[in-house]
Amino acid sequence: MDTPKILVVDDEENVRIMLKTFFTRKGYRVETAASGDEALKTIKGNAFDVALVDIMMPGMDGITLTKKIKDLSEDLPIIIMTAHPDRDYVLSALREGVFDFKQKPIALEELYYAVREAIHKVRLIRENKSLIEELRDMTANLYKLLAEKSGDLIKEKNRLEAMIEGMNEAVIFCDENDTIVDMNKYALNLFKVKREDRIGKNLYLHHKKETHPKIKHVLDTFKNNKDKNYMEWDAHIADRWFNLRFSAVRDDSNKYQGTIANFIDITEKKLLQSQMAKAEKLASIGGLTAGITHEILNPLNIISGNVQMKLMEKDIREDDRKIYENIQRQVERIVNIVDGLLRFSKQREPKMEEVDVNALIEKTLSLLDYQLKLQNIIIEKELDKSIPLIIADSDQLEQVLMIILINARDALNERELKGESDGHWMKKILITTRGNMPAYVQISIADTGIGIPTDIISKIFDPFFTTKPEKEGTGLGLSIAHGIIEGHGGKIDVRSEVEKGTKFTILLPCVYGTKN
Amino acid sequence: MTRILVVDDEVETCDLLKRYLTKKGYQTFTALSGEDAVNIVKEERPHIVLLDIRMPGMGGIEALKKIKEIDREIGVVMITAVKEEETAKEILKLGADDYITKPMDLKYLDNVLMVKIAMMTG
Repeated sequence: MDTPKILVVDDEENVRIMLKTFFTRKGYRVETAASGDEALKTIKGNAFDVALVDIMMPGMDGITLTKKIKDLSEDLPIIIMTAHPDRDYVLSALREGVFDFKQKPIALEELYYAVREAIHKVRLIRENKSLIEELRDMTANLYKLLAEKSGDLIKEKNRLEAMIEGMNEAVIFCDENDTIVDMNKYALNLFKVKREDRIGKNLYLHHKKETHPKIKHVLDTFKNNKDKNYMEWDAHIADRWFNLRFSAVRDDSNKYQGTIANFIDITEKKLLQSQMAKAEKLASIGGLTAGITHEILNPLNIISGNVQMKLMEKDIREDDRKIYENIQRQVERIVNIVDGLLRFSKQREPKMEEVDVNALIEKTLSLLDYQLKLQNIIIEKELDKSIPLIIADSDQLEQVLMIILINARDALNERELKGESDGHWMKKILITTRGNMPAYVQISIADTGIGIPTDIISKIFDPFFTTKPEKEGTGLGLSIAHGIIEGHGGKIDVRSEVEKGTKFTILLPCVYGTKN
Repeated sequence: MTRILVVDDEVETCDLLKRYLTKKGYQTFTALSGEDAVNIVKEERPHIVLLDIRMPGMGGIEALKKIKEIDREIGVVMITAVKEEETAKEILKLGADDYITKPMDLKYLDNVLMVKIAMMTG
């Protein structure tokens, strides 16, 4: 606290000296002015704590001076000194904010106490003002900081939200009361629900009975076991496979706050896994089969050879001959099955090269030409000349075409055997190729044969499934064809109607941009 | 008399073929392995060798090569399992003169041999 400063304004020099001396002795700093104007000049440059003003001075009158002082220094307490207190005058002065007035001759001790009070008051006022100023500044700064931080937080919040909304997996938060706090866009789409129907609602409200206990189990585990924070399993949701992951959220004191669930679509991965497992199985079967078939064929060879030699004997009895011929037939059957197995197990990796599908079809037809003509089968072709080349193993593709054409031939023969009441029936096979899809070439082979009943059509690509009598087919043809087409990255499909005919459609990926 | 060597790791197969071929008037030798086959070829110089493709130790393919090294004129007919077309093509590429599938049709074998011999002498 610095020493208070007093301004003494009086036109009389002895008053000035007296007051200066008195207050200096009291420990104050004192300055003097002899007139109103001088007083104002002095106040301009200095900070005074109190002014003692004689109101009866030549020049400016007391009230005006008071006003002017107040203009310059609003909080400066003024104590007026007057010899003749005019009651009205005093009232006006008080109205102007004068602090006190003292009658002359001045009772110094009284004046001293008044001055002390004034200084005390003015200091309080000034401190108050400065504190308010400080408070205002601080508050302004705080607001600025808050706004900045809020801005940052909002940006951060938006960024995180954008991240979660943009994720290609379902994210669901629930709190410690099992209330859904949030679900991201993917999750809402997956479960086909609207935000407002789920957020803020209890988790179990809309759960299916089947999933309820599993989810409850996870959350209960998290709630009851502080050490368990993660569980996952795979599940089927909306026709696709998902990997479900549950993570517990805990605060610093390890208290359960809620759970975050992530559901990731793994349908492709599972498909790939099952395909790979199938391929591996096939590969191992392949290896096994080759070995086993050889083991079977050797004893068969010996049986067959011995039987053949017996049949060559000239003096063989008729019933013995029949027996041996029967044995031969059975051996033949076993050989066919083994042959089919060997072919099936040999579904090797295709040897890929550029293939002209139309040319391949022509080649395959030429191989069957004689047979088809003999059986009066009409071949119609609608081959699109503009189809691009495809990448394929031409031997394997030829095999597929053969298999389907042979099946068509058999279906036509069967229908012919049944006899046609309708004289309009044409025994024909229609082969078309089309390339109007961007990535595929389409081959279709349609026959007017006996057709495939609806109850078995889903099985025709199964290995060993056949409707032919045992000695005619092993049922492996179409499953081999299916395997080959799939191995090429293509698709094979069948449509059929009993008594009308069957159509096989094959799609094969093509070399983009190359034309014949 | 035409000399034929039958090579198969199965004794009973060899016996069967020896019985049949002897009946048909051929002088028949047998070998149970590729190594034995090569030795007999060196000693007896058969006109035709019936060679099983799948044998332990020196397999049919290797035996084929070795026999052809000794004498290119010897006819080698490979015995393969069922109707393996791809293997058949490869066999012929490797230098075999023909192939026959197991289980063997003995009449067919007879024809093959007759044709081969006719080609060799004619």
